[in-house]
Amino acid sequence: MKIVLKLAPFFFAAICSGAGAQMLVATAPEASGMSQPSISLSPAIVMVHGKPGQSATQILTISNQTASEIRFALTTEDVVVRDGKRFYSPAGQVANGIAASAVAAPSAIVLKAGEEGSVQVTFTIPSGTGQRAVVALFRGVVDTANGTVGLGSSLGTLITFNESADYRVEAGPLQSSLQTDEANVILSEELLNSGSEPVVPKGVIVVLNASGKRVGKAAFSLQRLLPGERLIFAATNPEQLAPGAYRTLSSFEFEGKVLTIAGQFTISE
Amino acid sequence: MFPCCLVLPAQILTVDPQKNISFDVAGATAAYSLDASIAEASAENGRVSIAGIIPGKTHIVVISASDVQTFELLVTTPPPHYPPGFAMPIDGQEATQSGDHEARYISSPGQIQDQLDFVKIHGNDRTSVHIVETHLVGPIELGQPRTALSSLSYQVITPRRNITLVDQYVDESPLTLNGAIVRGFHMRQDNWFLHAGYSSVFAFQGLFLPTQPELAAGGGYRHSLTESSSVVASYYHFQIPASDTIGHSGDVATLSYRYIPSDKFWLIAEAGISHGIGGAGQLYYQTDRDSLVGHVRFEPMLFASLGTNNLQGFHADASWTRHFTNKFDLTLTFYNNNLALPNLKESTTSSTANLRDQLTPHWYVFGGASTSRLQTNVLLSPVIQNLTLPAGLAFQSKHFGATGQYQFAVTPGQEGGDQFRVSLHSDLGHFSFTGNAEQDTAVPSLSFIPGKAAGLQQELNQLGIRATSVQQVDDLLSSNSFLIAAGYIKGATINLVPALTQFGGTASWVSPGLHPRQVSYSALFNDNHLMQGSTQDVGHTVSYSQNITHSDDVALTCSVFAAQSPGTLWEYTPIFFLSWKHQFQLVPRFIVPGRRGTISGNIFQDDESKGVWEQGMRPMSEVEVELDDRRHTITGTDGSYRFPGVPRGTHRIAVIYRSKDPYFFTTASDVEADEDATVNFGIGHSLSGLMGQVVNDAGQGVAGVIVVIRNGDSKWSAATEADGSIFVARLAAGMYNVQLDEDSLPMGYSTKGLVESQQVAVGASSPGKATFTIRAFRSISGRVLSYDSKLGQYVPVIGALLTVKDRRLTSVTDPAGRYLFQDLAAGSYTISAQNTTQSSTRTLRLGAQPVALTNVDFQTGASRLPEILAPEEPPDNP
Repeated sequence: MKIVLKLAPFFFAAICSGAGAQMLVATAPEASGMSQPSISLSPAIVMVHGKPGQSATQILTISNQTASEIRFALTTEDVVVRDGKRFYSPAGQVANGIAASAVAAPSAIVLKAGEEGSVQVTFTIPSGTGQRAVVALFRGVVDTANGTVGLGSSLGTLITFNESADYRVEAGPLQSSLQTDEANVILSEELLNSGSEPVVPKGVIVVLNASGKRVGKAAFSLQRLLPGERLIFAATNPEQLAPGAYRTLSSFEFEGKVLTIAGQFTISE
Repeated sequence: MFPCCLVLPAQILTVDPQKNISFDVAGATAAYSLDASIAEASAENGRVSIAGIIPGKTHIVVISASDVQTFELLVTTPPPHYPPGFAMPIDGQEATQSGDHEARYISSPGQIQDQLDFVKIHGNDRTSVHIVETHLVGPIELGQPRTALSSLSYQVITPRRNITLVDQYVDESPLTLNGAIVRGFHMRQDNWFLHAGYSSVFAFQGLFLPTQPELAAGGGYRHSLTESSSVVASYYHFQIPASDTIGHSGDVATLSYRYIPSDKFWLIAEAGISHGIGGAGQLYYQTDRDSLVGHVRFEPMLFASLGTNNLQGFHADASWTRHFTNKFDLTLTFYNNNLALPNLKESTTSSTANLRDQLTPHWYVFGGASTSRLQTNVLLSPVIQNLTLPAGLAFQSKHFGATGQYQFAVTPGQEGGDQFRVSLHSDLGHFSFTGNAEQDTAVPSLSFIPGKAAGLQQELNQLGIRATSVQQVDDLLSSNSFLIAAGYIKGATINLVPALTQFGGTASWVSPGLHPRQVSYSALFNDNHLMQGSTQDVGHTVSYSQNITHSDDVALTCSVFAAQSPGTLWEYTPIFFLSWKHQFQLVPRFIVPGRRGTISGNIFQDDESKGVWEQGMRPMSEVEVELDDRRHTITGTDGSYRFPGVPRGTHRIAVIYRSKDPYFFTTASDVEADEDATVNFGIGHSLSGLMGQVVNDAGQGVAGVIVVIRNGDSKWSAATEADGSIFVARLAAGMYNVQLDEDSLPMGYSTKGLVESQQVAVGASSPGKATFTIRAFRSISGRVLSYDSKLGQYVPVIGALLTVKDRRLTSVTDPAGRYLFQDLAAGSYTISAQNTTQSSTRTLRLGAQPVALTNVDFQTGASRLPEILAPEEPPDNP
């Protein structure tokens, strides 16, 4: 159990940044010759399309592959974006929050070792809310001879809501890192979700030489952008570039739209 | 801040998976795909190439010296490919329905026929309707109705039950109902089955031949012994009119054993009692090497039966075929049949051995021997025997095939004859051709005097012409014995034709496209060289069919048949056939009424988020409920709603709730349910909450403080968390009185000022906030001492002045030399102690927690006072 506690920061980080993951798995460090105890939750991310006033129901399944019986209580938190960054707020503490509408059945489950169980969660999208995401957290508690021990970690499912077709993304100027013999150039763009709906921009960047020939192509890391959120999308050029000036074109596609940004950088001798 | 951003319009391109497309874009130097898993793109010298990888959508960006273009790309999804023989499974929820109407005009006998077929499938249930109505347009006999309902059936099949009304082709067992159309009621449920009705029509080659009504009523029970074996007990009563000479009235009781381990091996044995004891057996066995089929049947002459099932006496036939290898194939066949009809008794035996050897992938040689014997006892005729020794060569390729065969035939009493057979076929795209010619000697031929049924003679002629071997003639007789028994064929005899010449062929063309057309032509010439001269038959048929629309087809067939017997002129018979067929996508409800149900439920107020409707919950009236985006209703005063007459299937039920106050659903707001479902919806009024925080004067949260919230007579309380915060959820909007319970304050904090409560507004969707600041006790105390050399010890300094730098705090020592600074804020304190001769200074730091620093003493006799630091955070609250 202590092993799981040590991994708690990883779990939550995965919730915050995961875009394409299907399942979060809490895993103990590898023990010699033994299978790793783990707790997993699926799905990790749910994207809901709905209208204000409607509800969305999702079944979350948690699996206890540890050697102990664990009681999981489900809580929900609002995911809000302030100054481009993502914050989590307990249910009810954000005006017009979605998490306060959550109804979980059951609200807690006890899983013996090797068991898995499901919880049905229903959210209602309030009218007029600008919020587009909540996280459903399973908090684990282990009963011991001396009482109960909280795992100190939470496994969560990020649930995003789309209400309209207002998808907009803005991009900042190209940033490039220094290319050395030990590191290829890293090209990055800061993207801002200036629309009102979550998006997962999928992008690539191509490097063009002076004659317009493609000399490099790399895919940006996939990340989810909530409305108002800013994130750095970075891609590493797959090979070393000769010294000189280069142009770039970065293209991101999201919800059928394409955003293309031109940039340039120089590789010094 | 965000320069250089272009949102570009998209143009749509399409490419198949694993295919490439190319196109020109002026000046293109590079191109790329935004999803390399779906497609890849490149460009060079103005030519853009795109390779589809897997189905999906992505974008292609094409770069030229002066421009950037974006194209939307669709990598198409290929149609599903199913292996041969694959049957699409019917999903339990899937409902399909279809139907068609075909109107036919047939010139001989002149009639207009309408056929309607509808079928509706829902999961494992199937309902079908079949109607054929015939209207005779030519001259009719006296008393014959001009319009007849030739066939009518309404069938409902469920996993447990199978009910058919009116007509059903029944084939239960050889000794009971064996291939008869019974018009009445038919039912099969679990292991029971029942048939009751009249057999009044016989179907032959699309003709419905009327018979005298014969009553059949009975049923049975099937008892499973193992997974593959069962016994069936059945009982039937047949009532045959006295004028009907082909059926026999009476009762039949049978017991049959069925062993069916697979569809390639089954065995049925049946014993029955009626006016005598009968028995029957059937065997089917097939492997890659062997094929064995056998039937045996015995019925006493007065055994009760319908006219269509009138094979009294002993009948047997057997056929065995064996294939030895693939390239070298030896086929052995044995066939025996005994046929006993009222006016015809014959026995047939034939055996064949055929060899085939594959010389090359396209060429084969074959040869063998065949012997047959046909003995007709009634009417007594000479035995027909023959021995044939065939040999031939065959060629087979993708588009062309040809076979040439020579056989030497020996017929006792006849001269040995040479027989030749040639056939070929070709398939060239939309065209296909077949042709065949043969010249035989000593050929058995069926001759008869046709009855009065219009159209029957032509059908029998065609069948008879094509039967040129002993076994084929015998097959024709056996399978249509009812025609002889019922008098549709009279004077059936089997003769030996000394020589026969026959040739024919077909040609057809099918047009490509969405609405294909088909044209075909067939011809057949047959010349029987009899002792008295030649009997010749010629037939030409031209057919045209076309798919006019997605659901309409027309077909036209024109045939001319000509026959000439020795000493007579050619007799021509033209026949026209015209049909129009229309397919329906839906079955009218009045034809196959589908099962309907009622979806109902309650909408209840569920502020406690139980999510399940319980008796006593407050109903919500006048809430709109929607069914399948089409039907709407409003809940009544009891919160209930109801949608009657809902067609079978899955439906979407959604609640459309409007309220000026925030709310939330405690159940799904829209669900999918079957036609008989009860669906309840829970709605809670959104309740807000109140956030509070208790901090000390240093801004640090204080844990364990009880916060009391009041609204009218309602009261809530909560203890602050480690960070001093509380959150009380599910409070209705309104004003709340919030205050701290002073008894719960930890030690070291002042209770002054706590009696004052705060009035906090809680909004419907925004929480209220209350913050309390409490003062922590912090103090510094000690003594000021000086060393008395006379006494040899430290003594209190009375009236020494202590000051705190920059804080304007002073203290004067009492007669015991003590001083005290209290009500101090957190922070750093520099205290100076002065007497008449000297002063000393000490610096202390007070943390956010309550603290009482004692024994902070000043020794004025010391050269320098040490600095004492107070602990930043005590281990526990004081």
